[in-house]
Amino acid sequence: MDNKQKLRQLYEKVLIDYVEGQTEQGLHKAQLLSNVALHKNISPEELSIWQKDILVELYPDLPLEITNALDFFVKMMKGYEVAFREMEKLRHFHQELVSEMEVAANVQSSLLGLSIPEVDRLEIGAVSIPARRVNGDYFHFVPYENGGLGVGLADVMGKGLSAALCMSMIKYAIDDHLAKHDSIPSRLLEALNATVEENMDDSMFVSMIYGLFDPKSNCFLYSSAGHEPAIYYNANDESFEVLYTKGLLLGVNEQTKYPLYEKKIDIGDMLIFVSDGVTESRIDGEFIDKEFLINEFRKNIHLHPREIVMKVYKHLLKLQHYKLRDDFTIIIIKRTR
Amino acid sequence: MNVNVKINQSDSCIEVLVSGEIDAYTAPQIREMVYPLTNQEHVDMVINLSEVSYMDSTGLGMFVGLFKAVKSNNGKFKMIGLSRRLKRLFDITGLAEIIQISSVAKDGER
Repeated sequence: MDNKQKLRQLYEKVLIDYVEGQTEQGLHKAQLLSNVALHKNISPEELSIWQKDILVELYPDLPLEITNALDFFVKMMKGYEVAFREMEKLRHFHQELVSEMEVAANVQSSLLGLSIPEVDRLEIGAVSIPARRVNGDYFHFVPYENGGLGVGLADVMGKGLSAALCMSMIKYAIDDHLAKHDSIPSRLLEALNATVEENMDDSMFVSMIYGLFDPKSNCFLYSSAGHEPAIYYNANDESFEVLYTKGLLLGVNEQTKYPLYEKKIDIGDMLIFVSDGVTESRIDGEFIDKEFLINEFRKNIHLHPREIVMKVYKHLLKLQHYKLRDDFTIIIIKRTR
Repeated sequence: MNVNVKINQSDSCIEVLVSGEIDAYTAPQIREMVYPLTNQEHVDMVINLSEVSYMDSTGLGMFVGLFKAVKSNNGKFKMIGLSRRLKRLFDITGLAEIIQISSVAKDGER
C-alpha cells in the first residue's frame, strides 16, 4: 500500500471517528491531517473525492441530492486548485518584479552617476529625489575644458521601470550626440527628439531643458522641449525672472524644431532649474504658485547653491508632510567670477 | 487617486467625460477604456476635463498617446474644459500648439 492509500485510510478512520462522536480532539486531528496531505501534495480535488467516496460507501442510502452536492464540490475543488496555482505564479512574479526594481534602481544610480562637476567661476548645487524607487528625473552635467558647462534636466512622463530605462537611453543618446556633433542645445534636442520618437512607445514622452554656459561670452544658450521654464536670478537688482520658452515635448512629432535662446549671466547671477515634481508641490491640497517657489529661493539666496537646493527641498518636503508625489529635482548654477 | 470615465457616443462623435484625478494610477484605467475607441477611422473624439481636479505628466502622456492614435486614423481630437492649471501644462509642453484645447466646457461654463 503506498503512502497515498495509507493516508486515505487514515482520513477515513478519523472522519468516521468524528461522525460517531464529535470531539474537539477529532477536529484537531483534521487539522493535523490537512498538514500531512499538503506535504504529500494531495490536491483539494483529491481530498474532496475521498470525502465523497467514503460517504457513499458508508451510507448506501445517502440521498441523491447529497451525492450530487458532493459531485458539485469535487468540481469546485478542481477549479480552486487551478486558481490557487495561478495566484502562486502571480505572487512569485510580483516578487521577481520587486527585486528587478531594486536592481534597476541600483544600476541607475551607478550608471547615471550623481556627480556634480567642479567648474571654474561657477558654483553648482543639485538635488534629485525620486518619489518612488526609481527616479524618472535625470540631470546631466557636461564640463568643458575651456570652463564651459553643459547642463540638462529631463523628466520622463510616466513612472517606474520603463521610465527609468528611458532615462538611461537618453543619457547614452546625449553622450553620443555630443561626442559626434556640436553642443548647440537646439540641435541636441532635435537629435534626442528623433531618438525618443523612434524608440519609445506611443504614451511615453520626455520633457527636457538643455543649456550651455559659454565662459567667453558669459552667455547661457538654452533650448527646452516642453520643460518647466528655468528661473533666472539677477544679482544686480535681486529680481527673479521666469525664462519662458517654446518647444514641444520630445517624442511627439519627429519634425519638431527647437528655438535657441540666450541669456547673459553676470557675476552673482543664478540659473535655477526645476522639475515638475517641484512646481506641482501641494500644501494642504493647494498647488504652490510661481511666487511661492521664487520666495523659497529668495529666502536662501545668500547661501551656496548646494545649500539652497537642500534648504528648499527640505522645506517643500516638510510642507508636503514628507511625501513626494513626483520625482523632485532642483539644479542651481551661480556665476561667482 | 479616484477617477471616473463616462463615454457618450452619438452619431460619429465620441465624448469622454473624465472626473477626478488623473495620475500614474488612474491614467492606465482611462487608457484601457478609451484606447480601443481610437482604432476606427475618422473618429471625432472630445475629451472633457471640466471635472478633473488634477492631472500630472502621466495623464498628459496618456492623452498624447490617444491623440496620436486618433490622428493616425484620420480622426479629429479635441480637449475641452481645461482648468487654468491644465491649460498652463499644455502651454509649457508645447502641446497647446498641436492639440486643440479649450477652457470652455460644452455648455459654455468654466
